Amino acid sequence: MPKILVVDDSSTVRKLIINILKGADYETVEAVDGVDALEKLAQEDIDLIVADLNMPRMNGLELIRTIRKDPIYSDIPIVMLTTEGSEEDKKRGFEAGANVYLVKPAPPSLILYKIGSLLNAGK
Amino acid sequence: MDEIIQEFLIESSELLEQLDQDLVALEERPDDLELLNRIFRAAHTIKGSSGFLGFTQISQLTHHMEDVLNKLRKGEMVVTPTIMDVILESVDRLKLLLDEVRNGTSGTVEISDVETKLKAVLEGTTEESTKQEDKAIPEGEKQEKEKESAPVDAKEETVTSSVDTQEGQIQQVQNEVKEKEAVQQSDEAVSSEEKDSKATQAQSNLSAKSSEQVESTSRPQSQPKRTSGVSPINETIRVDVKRLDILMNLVGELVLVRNRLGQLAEKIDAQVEDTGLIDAFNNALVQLGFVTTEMQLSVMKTRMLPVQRVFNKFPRMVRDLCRDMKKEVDLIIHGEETELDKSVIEHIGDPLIHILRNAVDHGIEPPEERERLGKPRRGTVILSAYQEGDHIVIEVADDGRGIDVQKVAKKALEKGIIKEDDLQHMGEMDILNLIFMPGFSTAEKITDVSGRGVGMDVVKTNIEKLNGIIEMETELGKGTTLRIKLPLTLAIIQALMILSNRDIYAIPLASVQEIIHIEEGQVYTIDQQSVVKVRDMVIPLMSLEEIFGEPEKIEETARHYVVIIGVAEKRLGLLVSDLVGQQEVVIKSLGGYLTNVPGVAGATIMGDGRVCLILDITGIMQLSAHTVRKVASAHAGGSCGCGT
Repeated sequence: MPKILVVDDSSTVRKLIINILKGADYETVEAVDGVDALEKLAQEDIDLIVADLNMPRMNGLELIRTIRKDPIYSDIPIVMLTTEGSEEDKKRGFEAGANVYLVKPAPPSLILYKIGSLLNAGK
Repeated sequence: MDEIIQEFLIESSELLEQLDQDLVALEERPDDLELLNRIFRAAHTIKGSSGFLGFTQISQLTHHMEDVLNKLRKGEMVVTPTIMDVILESVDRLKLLLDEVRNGTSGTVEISDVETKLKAVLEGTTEESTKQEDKAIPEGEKQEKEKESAPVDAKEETVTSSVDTQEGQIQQVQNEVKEKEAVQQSDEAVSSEEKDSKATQAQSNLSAKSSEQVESTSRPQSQPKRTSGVSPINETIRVDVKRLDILMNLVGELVLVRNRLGQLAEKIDAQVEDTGLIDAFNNALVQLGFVTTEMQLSVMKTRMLPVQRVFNKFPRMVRDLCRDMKKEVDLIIHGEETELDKSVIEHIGDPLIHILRNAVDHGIEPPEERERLGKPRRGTVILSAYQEGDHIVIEVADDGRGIDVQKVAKKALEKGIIKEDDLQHMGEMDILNLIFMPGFSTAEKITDVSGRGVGMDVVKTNIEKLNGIIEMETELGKGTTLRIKLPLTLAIIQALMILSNRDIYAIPLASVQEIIHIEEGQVYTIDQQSVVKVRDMVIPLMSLEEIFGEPEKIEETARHYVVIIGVAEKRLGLLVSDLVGQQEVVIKSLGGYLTNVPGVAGATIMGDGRVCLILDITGIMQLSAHTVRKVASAHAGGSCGCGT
C-alpha cells in the first residue's frame, strides 16, 4: 500500500488525518514540522506528503521548496492541507510546488479523493 | 472519534497553558518576534484542529485572536496592557470552551463579548480601547441581559451546531462519496476494479469498525509530547494514569513478596543443612531485592512530573493579582524541572496558590510604601523547587514586610485561640506557628484575594495530607519564606517498625527525629505528664496505648526505648517496647469502613503475613495533645511504664 507522510504540528490534526488515511488502508508516517518531515523522508519510502503550512522550525512552504529542489524527492506528490484559505496563500502554495491545495477543515472524502487521484496519476 | 477529541483536549490544554506563560513573558519582551510567532502558532493550531472537529465557537474565537496576534507579529500594532487583557480573557474563555467539550455540555459559554473586544482592538482603536475599557463592562452586562432575554434561541443554536458537527460531517462524507461514485462511474479512464476499491475505501472510512482498527493500531505509536517551540522532539508515549497506578500497586506487592521471602530465608537457613544451597538461595534473594528496588525506582520515575506543570499557572496569576491589588511584583521561578510524583503534583497547586496570594497580598507592600521604606519599588517573590535527600522542597520567599510576632500574638488572643497565660510559655516560633491554627487571619481588611477565613490552617492540612511539612521563617521588614518539604512518592515509604506491647507499628521514617535509650531517673513528671529531657529540650513521653486509649496492660518489662517523632516544631516521645528495624513498606488503604481513623495513615502487610498499622504522625500529635489534657484531669499520677 502507498505510504503517506503526514506533516502537521498539531497532534490532533495528525491523528485525524491518519485515521482517515488508515481507514482507506494507506500506510502512514508522521512528522511534527518541516525539519522532522525531511528526516522521515530520508528514512522511509514515502509515496505522498500531506503537509500543513504554519509550523515551527520549518514551515510548509519551505518544506515544499526544499523537496522540489531535491532531485531524489522532487517528484513526490504533495497535498497542502491548511487553514490558510486566501487566494494569495493558495497561489504561494502552488508556486512553491504543491500539487493540491486543501483548506481545513476539508471533508475526509475530498482528502481521500485528491490523494487517490494524485497517486494514480503518478503510476 | 472519542480518541481524537481526547487528543484535541490534551493538545489544546497544553497549548493554552503555554499561551498563558508566553503571553505574560510577552508583556515583558513585547519585541520578541520568536515569542510572538509561537503565540500566534498556538492560537493557529487550536483554530485548525477545532475547525476540523466542528467546535465552531473555539475556532471562531481563535480566529479573531489570530487576527490580532498577526497584527502584533507584523508590527502593525504594539502590545499594550489593554490588548493583553483582551487576549488573556480570550484564553480564559477558550479554557471554558474546552471544559464544555470535556464535559460534553454546550451553550453555557458565550463568546460574543470577547469577540467584540477583539474586533475593537483589531480595528486599530488602541487609543480608544483604553477608554473603552470602562465602557466594556456595562457593554458586557448589556449583552448578558440580551442573552437572558433570548436564552432559548442561543442555546438551541449551539446545541444543534455541536451535535450536528459529527453527524453532519458523516452526512457530508456520505453525500460526497455518492457524488464521487457518480463521477467515477462516468469517468471511463478509471478501471472498474479501482472504482470498487475506492468506494470501499471511502466507505470503510465511515464505518465504526475501521475506526476501531485504527484505534488499536495507532495506540502504540509514539508521539512527540510537545510540538510547540524549538525544543527537540522527544520520543514519548501517552499512557493512561490508571495503568501506571496498577503497575505501582504491583510493584508494591512485589516488595511485599520480597520481604516475605527474606523472612522465609531466615527460617530455611536454620533448618536446611546444605550450605551451598542456602548460599545460592540467598544470592538469588539479594538479586531479587536489587531488581525490585530498581524496578520500584523506575516505576516511580514514570509517575514523576516536573513541577513546571503547577508553576506554569503562577506568572499569569501573579500578574492578575498585581493588577487587582495595584502592586508591583516580579515572580522569579527556579527549579521548575524538579520532579514530583503525579499525585503530589495534583494536590500541591491549591496550597501554593494560597501561599503566593498571601505573599503578594499581605507580604509585599504597595509600591509607594516600599519607596518610602527605601526598598526597590517592585517587590520580588521567589518560587523555587529543589531536591534535598529523598524530599522535594518548594519555597516561596518574598521581600515584603514580614510577619509581626506581636500582631500575631494580639490577634490570637483576640480570637481566643490562646490565653494570656499560654503566651508566657511561648517562644517566637510558637507564636508564629499560630497562623496555622484554624480561624486565624492577620489581614486587617478582608480582601477578595486572601483572608477569607480559609487560611493557612487549610494549607497546612493539605500539605500534611501529602506527608509533607511546612516551615516558616520571617524577618520583620525583610520578608517571609515558607518552605514545604514533600516526600518523593506516596505509595512506598521507609518506616521504622516498632513493637508496642506486642503490637507492631510502622512509623514513617521521615517523621522520626531520633531514637534514644533511657534509664530510670531520666524521666520527670511535670503537671502529671511524663517528660524526658533530651539535651536542652523537654519532650513529653507517651505510649501508643495511652494515645489510642487502649486499656492498660501489665508490662512484662520496663520500656527503655523512646522514639522521638516530630511534625514542624512539635516533638513527642513515644515509649516503645522494642525496635524491630527499618523497612520499606507499601501503604495500603484500610478500606471504606476504616478510612479516617485518627492517628492511622494506613496499613501494610508484613513479611510474615501479619497486618501492621502505619502511624499518621500528625494525627498522633493531635491525639496526644488531647490525651495530655485527659490524663491531667482524670489521673492524679501519669503512668508511663518505665518505672519512674
